[in-house]
Amino acid sequence: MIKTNNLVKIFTTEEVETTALNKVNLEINKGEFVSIMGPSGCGKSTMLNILGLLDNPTGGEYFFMDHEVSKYSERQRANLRKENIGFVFQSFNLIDELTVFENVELPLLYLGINAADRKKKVNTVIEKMGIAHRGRHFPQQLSGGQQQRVAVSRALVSDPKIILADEPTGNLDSSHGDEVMKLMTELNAEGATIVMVTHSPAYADFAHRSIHLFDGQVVTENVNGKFHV
Amino acid sequence: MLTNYLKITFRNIWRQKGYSFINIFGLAIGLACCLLILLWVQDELSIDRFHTNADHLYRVEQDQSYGGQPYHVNVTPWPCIPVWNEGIPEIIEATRYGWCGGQPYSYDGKTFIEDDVQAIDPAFFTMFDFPLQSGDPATVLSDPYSVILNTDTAEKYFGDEDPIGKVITVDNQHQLTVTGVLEKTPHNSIIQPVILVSMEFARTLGGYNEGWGSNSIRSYILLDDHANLSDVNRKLTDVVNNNREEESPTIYMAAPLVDVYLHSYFGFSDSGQAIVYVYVFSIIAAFILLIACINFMNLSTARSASRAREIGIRKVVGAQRSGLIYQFLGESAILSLLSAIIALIFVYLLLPVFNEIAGKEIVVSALLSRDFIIGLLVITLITGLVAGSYPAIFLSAFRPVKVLKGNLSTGRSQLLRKILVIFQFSLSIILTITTMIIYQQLNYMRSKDLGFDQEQVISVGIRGDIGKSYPALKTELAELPQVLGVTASSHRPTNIGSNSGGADWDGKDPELKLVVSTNSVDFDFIETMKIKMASGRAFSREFPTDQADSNHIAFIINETMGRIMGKEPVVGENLRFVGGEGPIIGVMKDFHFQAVRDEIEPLAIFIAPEWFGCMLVRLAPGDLPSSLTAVEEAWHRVLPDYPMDYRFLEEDLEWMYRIEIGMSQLLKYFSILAIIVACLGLLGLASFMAEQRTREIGIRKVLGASVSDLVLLLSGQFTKWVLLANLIAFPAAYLLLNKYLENYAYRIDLGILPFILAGFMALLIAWITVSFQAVKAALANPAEALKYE
Repeated sequence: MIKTNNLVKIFTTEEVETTALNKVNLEINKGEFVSIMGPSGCGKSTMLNILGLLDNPTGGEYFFMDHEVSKYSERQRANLRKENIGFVFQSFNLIDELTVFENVELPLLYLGINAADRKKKVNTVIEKMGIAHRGRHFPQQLSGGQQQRVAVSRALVSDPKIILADEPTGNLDSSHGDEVMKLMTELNAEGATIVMVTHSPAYADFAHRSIHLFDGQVVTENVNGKFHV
Repeated sequence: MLTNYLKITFRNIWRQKGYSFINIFGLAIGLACCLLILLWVQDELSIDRFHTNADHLYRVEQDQSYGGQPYHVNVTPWPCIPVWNEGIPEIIEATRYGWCGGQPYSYDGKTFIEDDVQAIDPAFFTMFDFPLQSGDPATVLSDPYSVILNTDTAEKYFGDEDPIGKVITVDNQHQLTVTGVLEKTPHNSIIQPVILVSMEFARTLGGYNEGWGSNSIRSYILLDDHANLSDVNRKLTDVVNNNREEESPTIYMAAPLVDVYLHSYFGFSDSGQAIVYVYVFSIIAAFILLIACINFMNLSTARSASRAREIGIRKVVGAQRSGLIYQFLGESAILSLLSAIIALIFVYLLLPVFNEIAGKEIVVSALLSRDFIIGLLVITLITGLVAGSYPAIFLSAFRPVKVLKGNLSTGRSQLLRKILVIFQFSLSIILTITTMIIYQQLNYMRSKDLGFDQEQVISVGIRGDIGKSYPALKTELAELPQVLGVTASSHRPTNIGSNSGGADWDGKDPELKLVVSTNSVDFDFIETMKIKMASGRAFSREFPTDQADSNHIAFIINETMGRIMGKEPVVGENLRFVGGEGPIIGVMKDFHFQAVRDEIEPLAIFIAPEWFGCMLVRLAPGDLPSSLTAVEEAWHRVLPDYPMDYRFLEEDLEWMYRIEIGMSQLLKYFSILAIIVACLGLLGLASFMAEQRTREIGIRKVLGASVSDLVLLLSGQFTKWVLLANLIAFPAAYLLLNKYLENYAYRIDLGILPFILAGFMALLIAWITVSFQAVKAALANPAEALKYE
């Protein structure tokens, strides 16, 4: 589903050039649950942004569902993104001015789905996430755990091929964190492909496979608890 | 999707009430100013367009030639219209509109001195749209002893009675029958008939002048659809030359009636006054709206951080940049629509005040006119687009990766905000300086020493029958202790409006063609008006030859005339002028006998009682009401049947400068509003900046900064901006106002004081605005500020 060849990302400012990703090769298959780990600044989030088509790499190739997308324009990436990728962020990134229902509905609006179908889909997903009774509330009226469920609902509502989660538990206490991880596991069991960036080795273990990044390079891959160098 | 956008828009407005208020209220003020000015411009442009024949109606004007220079005159000789009407086939109809007022009109024991009486030809009613409330336009003037009144005048004489068929006595001898009553004339007509009489009657009164050299009436013509204007113009000149004995260099031309108000000009000048104000106020409207739009741009980009996440999310879930641009443009369009609604309420409430200041009669229903609604929509839409353009482009360019991580750099927008604020303040400062200079110039004109003493002098019309009693009146009044002097004159000295060509003297350069203003006066004129003599003497009864007879005239001229003649001494020289010849017996020091904006022209005065139009009475200082009563009692002893219709000379000055007075008032209010709108923006920006620096302020306080240190810190940058705005505004205002003052022959020096004052005012107002926020921020508890970490 995802394959990268020698992926490079260099950030250039007036004075410094920072190599965030240095020739990363990676393959993620359909139905996999992969976690990306590593210390701050190792390139985890950069990796996720490129995988999520939010950013273009500086070099190398990126195959998303067999399309080479590394040179895609913003418009092409936006089209690919809205149909195939769901995002979950550490800081939830809900829109304060919209209700829970409206936040979850947003991706469907951009997909041009009609109102009746939107309503059905949103209701199904928030029902499943256990926040249906909060549909008319605004994000700030919810607890952190509930907000993250809204964010997950939003990522799921358009039935994406892959879910990218950037430290989804980072802003949550442990009980809410556990809850979200349980949710992720269930989704994966139902067939969703998930890539998750996390700091926590405990949560990384929920995944089939952990990829460790250090200074922009993949240093180890851990499958089902065994190390591959 | 649209509902989603609308929801976001309204929830944002509601959530950020302070900023929304500044944005909407600021835009509303800007739009209200714009709409008022739009109404005003619309009204100015509508003048004389209500006539069905508007596009084919012309006023005939002429360029006289003096020393090769055209001298433009908007009046023509009396005999022109009949010969043009006969000799030029393109003319369908033509009418004269000639003043012949000043006589007493009486009915049933009531007498009024009627100043506004015009003689017309019968075509007047078919050419123009001045419908009659009663009477038949076709026959209304068939009897030369007919009179047509406007509604106010009809009511003044007849109250509720039917005026038709009633007989008014004019000048105690002529009987005029009322044959028509006019409907109310629209306010946007330069022709405002009050009393209309026939040409034959004007002839009876002696007002009609058969000569080709006296230009004193307005001539209007209606041309057919296919008329070629340059052909007509040529024929106008040719026909006159064919009919008068001597060839004249004067060129006649037809000026479209609809252009007369805005573009008509007089004398040696060649551009209209009214159109200048249309331009000036249109520019001011654009300025104020621009200031309000800048507020919107600044606050939207300053607040961009709060929208950043929304933009990021929208992009992540698939929004295109173009979609976001539409969203933000739509938002600003909605805001400007809301502002437009509030602006309409403002306009509705302010219209009466505005009318009073601007001297207009714009009615509320004008707000419903098609043109106004289109104008409103266009202005609102443009405002929405202008105000929303920068935020839309700026915000939609956010990269989701960055904004969702929270590292938003707004360096570029900060620079632009600075530039915009500086620009806003430059505009406000320019407006302020302009207002001050226009006021200064106006005050200068109103208080300038005119060269005679216009205070405590009343003028009373003494035309017609009343004129016969002038000598008796003068004797009676001169005995009163409250009266310091009595004289007569054909014109009030504040406004001598007649002039004549053909002045000649020995040794005159034959090429020199000169227009000289003329005024016939009584003995005591110089003394009563306190005009100073430069050389020679004033008129005196000791010299019987001072009074003009059939061909001998004694002249007193002004210094300008003396300089033109170039004789030394000029006193004693013979002058041939106004149909006679005689010595110059004295030279008056120059005095302003027209508005101070115009150069003093050459003037010659002489004694010819048959031309007297008004009596001038100088009252003693002190109890004015009792002086007036004494004068009135004396008047009634001589003329028990006639009212004393008087006015003070000083009123003339107010009248002369009424346009400048009205315009400067308007300008003052618009400048104040511009500054308020600019300060609203500054208030919003200051509060945003204080908010953004909350943490910095907290740390500084912990480290020992005092409240005054912090206020200074926060106000410092705004001070710099306003100072920079001054630097831009000063030269711009200087150039602009220098140009403006060139319109005035006598003008103030462009001093530095108004500049410094305006700059300081802007600084002070900005400082007060910013300090308000700065103090609030500085007084906040630092623990509160730091706990967000």
